[in-house]
Amino acid sequence: MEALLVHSHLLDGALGRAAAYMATALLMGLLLWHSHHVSAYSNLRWSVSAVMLGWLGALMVLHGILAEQAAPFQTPGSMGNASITANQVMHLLFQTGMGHSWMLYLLLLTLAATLVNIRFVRLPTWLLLSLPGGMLLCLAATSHAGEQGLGTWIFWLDVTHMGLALTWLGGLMVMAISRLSGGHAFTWAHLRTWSRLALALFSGALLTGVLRLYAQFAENGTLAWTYIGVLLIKAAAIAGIIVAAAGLRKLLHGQENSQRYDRSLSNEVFCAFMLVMATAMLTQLPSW
Amino acid sequence: MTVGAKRLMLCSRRRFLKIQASLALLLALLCVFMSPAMAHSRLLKSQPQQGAKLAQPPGEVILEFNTPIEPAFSRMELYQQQWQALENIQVRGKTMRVPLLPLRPGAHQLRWSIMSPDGHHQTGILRFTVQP
Repeated sequence: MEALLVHSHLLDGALGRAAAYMATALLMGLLLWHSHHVSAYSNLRWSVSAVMLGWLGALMVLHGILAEQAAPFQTPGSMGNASITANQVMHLLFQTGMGHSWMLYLLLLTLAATLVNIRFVRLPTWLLLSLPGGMLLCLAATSHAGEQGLGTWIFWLDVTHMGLALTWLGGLMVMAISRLSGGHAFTWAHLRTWSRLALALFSGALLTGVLRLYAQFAENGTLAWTYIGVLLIKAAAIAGIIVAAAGLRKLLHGQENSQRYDRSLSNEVFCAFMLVMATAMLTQLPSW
Repeated sequence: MTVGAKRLMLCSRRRFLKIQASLALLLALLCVFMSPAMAHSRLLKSQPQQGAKLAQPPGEVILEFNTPIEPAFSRMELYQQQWQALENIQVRGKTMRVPLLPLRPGAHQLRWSIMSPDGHHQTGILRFTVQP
């Protein structure tokens, strides 16, 4: 248990980033299904969930960092009586790239969630998509890929990888939650369209992810065992998703059987959740 | 559906649930027993070097890291009976520089703390000796 406390912001950071990923994914999923004219669900409910997840995630990440910086030389695991001061909060928010990126992320998230709900404002799709796009840039800027600046190819590879992965996750989340909670908005035709789209998105995410991993390995010429351990969990989650998705595709080619489809879908959702958690954990671990 | 087919479906579903539970448990265990070395930035070189024996007291300490570091959260302390924070720390890109007042002969240690742009925190101790 001691090892868990050595780096106090490990779990805060991982859970916070996972929440921020899911918030971004939810918005992307909303926009994706909106473009396919699936609107038999409450935009307000989804966007409020995204805003709450995003804010919670950002606050967890920032609090984790501040908790460490409050007593930077304390023995690991014992933060003593150190408390976070207002000055430190201001320094983090206004004097670091990390603070700027998270504030911009929250601004874009809130703006996107608000605009999705204002029906009388007809915004062009590219403008609506640019908001979660901006959120992706902010998330990449606060990750390991963003350390060397925005002018590096690894940063843009990370953005592409996250964009593909979160669009897939968002589409899946909105569809799965809607279906598994008894909604009827998604017809068999929608699911067939989704199956094709998800295959393209997931394959793209997989390819860019492998390139990203290669770049990570090339950076230091080695990978830490802890990193490899979490990578294996990620690989197992990916394998689970592929198996579940293959089953779902097979079902879609046969006669409509919603019960069997939803059962397999819940397995895919579980694996997707494991994938998000493992990915968020990897962002907090040293690769060497 | 025959009774046999139903049993088979139930059995494979149970097996899948077991796999799911095992994966979740594995992730939780990894979180608990993780390696304590959790940082991304690392010190590449320092001036004076770690363990150096110097004929003259150094006028400044320079630390160079593998990634850029955040100036707002860069700190350095010198041990003189107790840890004392050093002022006028300058950070430019990957380099941290701090001027030192003349040090008396003997063993000295400095500790530093930095934050990389991805928010990860790293600390370390630099030891050197000023010869009489």
